[in-house]
Amino acid sequence: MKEQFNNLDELLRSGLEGFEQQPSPGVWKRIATMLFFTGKGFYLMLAALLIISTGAVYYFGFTDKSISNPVNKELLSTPETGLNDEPSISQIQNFTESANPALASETSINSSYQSIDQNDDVKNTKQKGKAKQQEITNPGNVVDDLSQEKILFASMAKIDNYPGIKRLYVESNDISFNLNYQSDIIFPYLLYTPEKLELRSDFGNLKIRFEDDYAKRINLLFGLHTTPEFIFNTNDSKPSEPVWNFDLTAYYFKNDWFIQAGAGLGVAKDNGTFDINYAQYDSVGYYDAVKSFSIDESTGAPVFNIQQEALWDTVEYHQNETTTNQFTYLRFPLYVGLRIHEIKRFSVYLKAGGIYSILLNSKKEQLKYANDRATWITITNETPNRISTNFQVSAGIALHYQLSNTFALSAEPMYNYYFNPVYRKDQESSAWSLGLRAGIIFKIKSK
Amino acid sequence: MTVDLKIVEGCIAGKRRSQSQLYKQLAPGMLGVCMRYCHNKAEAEDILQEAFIKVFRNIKSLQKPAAIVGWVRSIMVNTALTHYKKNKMYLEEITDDNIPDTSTSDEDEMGPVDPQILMNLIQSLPEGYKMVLNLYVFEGYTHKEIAEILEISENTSKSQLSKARKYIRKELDAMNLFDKKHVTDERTV
Repeated sequence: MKEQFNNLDELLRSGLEGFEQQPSPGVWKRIATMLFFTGKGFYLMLAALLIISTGAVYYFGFTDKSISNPVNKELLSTPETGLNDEPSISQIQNFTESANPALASETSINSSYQSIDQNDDVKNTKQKGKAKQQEITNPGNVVDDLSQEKILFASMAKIDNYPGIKRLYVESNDISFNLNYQSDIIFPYLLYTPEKLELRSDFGNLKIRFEDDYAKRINLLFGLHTTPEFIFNTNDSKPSEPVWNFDLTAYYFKNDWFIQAGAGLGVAKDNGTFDINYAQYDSVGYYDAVKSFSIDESTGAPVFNIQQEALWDTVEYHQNETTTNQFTYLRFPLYVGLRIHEIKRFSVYLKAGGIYSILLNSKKEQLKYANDRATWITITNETPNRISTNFQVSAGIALHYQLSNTFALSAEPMYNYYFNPVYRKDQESSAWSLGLRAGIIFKIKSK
Repeated sequence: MTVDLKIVEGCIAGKRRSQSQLYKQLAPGMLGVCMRYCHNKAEAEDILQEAFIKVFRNIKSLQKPAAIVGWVRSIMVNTALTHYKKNKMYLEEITDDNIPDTSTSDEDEMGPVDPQILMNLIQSLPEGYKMVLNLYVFEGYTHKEIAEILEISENTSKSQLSKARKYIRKELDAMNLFDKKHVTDERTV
């Protein structure tokens, strides 16, 4: 057989030996990326990230700078109030500290900067950073039977849309110390973001200004999310089976901005398609076979004894079968977000960023096809291969509902645009997807 | 084709610049090899990508830097075969009786054919035909070796090769690229 086809073989060899084709520019980029992610550089970077994250958690999460922070006292120690016969806030502070040193040395609170102006004479003391100010005019309630200290202690500041739960807790805690007699007023606010915090006094128009270090807040939070994501190909309006993503991210907040980064896994499923060609010896029709004949004696004409016979031949068949494949991706999301609205425990953010995905594992179901009658079978896997790396840009709205100082619920409808097609398939354009990230955001509690 | 030994040494040292240079130099030819084993360029680029990653990860094991082209080529072919084995279900020819007699006369004259046409023809072959044809015609394996590589019988290898040739022949005939002096046996049957 070999000798019979020398000419064709030589034709093929001479025509295709040395055949060259320029690869697409993206091929080298993907190779370089894969080499990076599987090389030493990647692991060094991961190690560096781990060290930085650990350091950040330690620095922002576990160190409590307010333990020995003198600012509270300083801020609460106001200048002369004009009401010389009335005790100054600093006096009260001193009184209360001496009255209850245990509370005064409370170490579980963070720093807050708070100043109280009384009758507009009290000047603000030091402010740090771009302090957000809340100004409240005392409603002037009079509580006759309370001592001066008690009157002050009974005061209640009213703060609208206070943005910082932790800060409020701290301030409330400070005040609560001074307001032991009215603790039922203050303490309900300690557990959640208050819409209003009030200070009442019978000093007439007691003007109270609260300043927090809201602008200086730097928080490190963590989020655990799952996302059902529906991918649409632009040439196919039908969404594929949802991709399930799970990720753990760290949020680094500074003022109203945050950066979110982390890692996760994505599990996608799709159908494998197989083209099956086979040939089998099959009936292709019938014909009338003359088994015998006789002569009709009366007419002399032949009488045929006919029997229908099946006609058999090798026939080629063609059919398609599908299987289910599962793909696992390693994902690295990176977002930047901005808080655009906050009321009570509810916050709204705009966020945008990108996700880099690497195909970790492909679990392809094998097609089980058997046909004993077939003389030959050819099965071609026509499933388009998935691209091993993918980059998508992503934007959406994040809605956070604060459950406590430590936990918040998160729901984030997101739109994603894939920069390259999911599949390696000619003429397939980039895909887009809609997903709903849902999960919890938590803070590692400080000691 | 030769590759500057400095580039190879750079690749062994893990230098990205050298890797890029080696890729630029070899990729077009290696893509040509990969394309013979695939349906289309996109699929071939996947194999090229996978194979080059293997090349850079294992280049330290290359004992003769001067033989890098052949070494890279063998990785390309092996990767293509692995890719094929992953996807293939089975290719079975039951008996030799099923092999049609597609013999043509050696005296057929074949003029030069555009390589792109030949490539398209090979790419359009069914997977099994394509593998056997590539291994037999371009890589120089015997049917026995092909049978071991593809885990098929020798008869199957022969029949796949026969059908591949028949297919290519038929398509080339349809394009009137052969100056026929003789009618093939097939047509006389």
